[in-house]
Amino acid sequence: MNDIGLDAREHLTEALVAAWLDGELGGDERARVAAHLADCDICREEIVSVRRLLGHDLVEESPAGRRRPVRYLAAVAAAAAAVWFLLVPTMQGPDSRLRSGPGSEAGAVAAIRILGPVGDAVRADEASFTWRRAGRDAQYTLTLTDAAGAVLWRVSTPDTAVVLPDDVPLEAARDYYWTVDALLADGETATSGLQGFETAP
Amino acid sequence: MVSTEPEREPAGLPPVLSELLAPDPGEDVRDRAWYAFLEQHDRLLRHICRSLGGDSDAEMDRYARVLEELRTDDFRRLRRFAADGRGRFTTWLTVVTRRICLDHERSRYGRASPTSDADTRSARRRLADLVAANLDPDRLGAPAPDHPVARLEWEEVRAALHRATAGLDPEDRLLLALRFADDLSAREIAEVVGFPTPFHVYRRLNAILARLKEVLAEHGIEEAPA
Repeated sequence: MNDIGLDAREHLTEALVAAWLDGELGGDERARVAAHLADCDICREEIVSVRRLLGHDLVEESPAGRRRPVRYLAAVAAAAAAVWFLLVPTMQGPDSRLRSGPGSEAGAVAAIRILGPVGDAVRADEASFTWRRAGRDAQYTLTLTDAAGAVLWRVSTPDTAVVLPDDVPLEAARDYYWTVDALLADGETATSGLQGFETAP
Repeated sequence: MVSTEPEREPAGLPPVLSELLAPDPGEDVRDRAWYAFLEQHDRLLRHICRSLGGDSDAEMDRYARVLEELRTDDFRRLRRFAADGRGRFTTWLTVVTRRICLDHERSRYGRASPTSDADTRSARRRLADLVAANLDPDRLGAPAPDHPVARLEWEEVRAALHRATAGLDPEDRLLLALRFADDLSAREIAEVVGFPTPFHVYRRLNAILARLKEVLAEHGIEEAPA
């Protein structure tokens, strides 16, 4: 059955592969493409290979060719944070190559300190997020997801506080997760790690 | 100032592509637009051509084929992006260029071997091993030719697992395929399916495996006593 527009070789069209990787598919179409990918190792290999090629910093910075640096940054920063949590107990002191952030002890890796919400019961219509500054001229990106990992909202800001807009409604009595990633002026990155909160009933 | 992510490209075609595909522009204008297109995307095209391995001659052969294919029939391939209109042009161009390179390789060296049945069985075995990790090892001992009962029990687990995975949501089945058939890291899986962090991948996989264990239990395949 070709209800997702497979090509003559029964594989995803170029347009569908690109749309999947750019997050342009939703609803039923995304589910049908996911079903095809689950069963077709050739299309899966293509998706993975193209994603790796896109991860290379060769895309021109024109309005037409701009990648989404934040998603890649978030994944890299989260991985870096995971490594930091493993290494910090054994890599302290002035010889450490781990960078110190403002307000942190010497030798510690920069991390973003969250002020809230963390584990709190938050009113679904009053969600706001605050954190401490990670460095001068830092650019922050906040990602909010539901419990299944679906991204609900993503925003970039130089501020250390944002309020959830009205057009991103949260449900009552639900778990939500969020991270803040920072790109610092010297090119370093920092992350808050995954934070969670629940909305009040 | 707050900007909302993801930042979208302007609607319509990239300017250099609009100029290239404009109706009846004249040969000089078309040539200038083509060279402007190459100036903007040449590094990407060459990177993709290089990514398939081989020496510099092989890379240049692919590159020449890519340029030829993109220009053929009045830029027929590039006009397909214009017709669809979704996603970023560079993503689409990466897909198309890679396909042209692979077609070129196939025309010269033949088609690569498909995934073998042995690979598929191996991936399914790894998944079954993981799901059945807490199950009674006596019931799931490696089937031996002279132990038909053990073999039948193992086949029962595999059949139940097959039914259980077939009933999962498509994206959950995709996660299992990426993890157990393709051996991707959680980070790569997150990038391919659009999860914000690898943690989300781990959590979802754990939930899927827990569900599969429930399904096996419903088929009478219970966990071993503590």
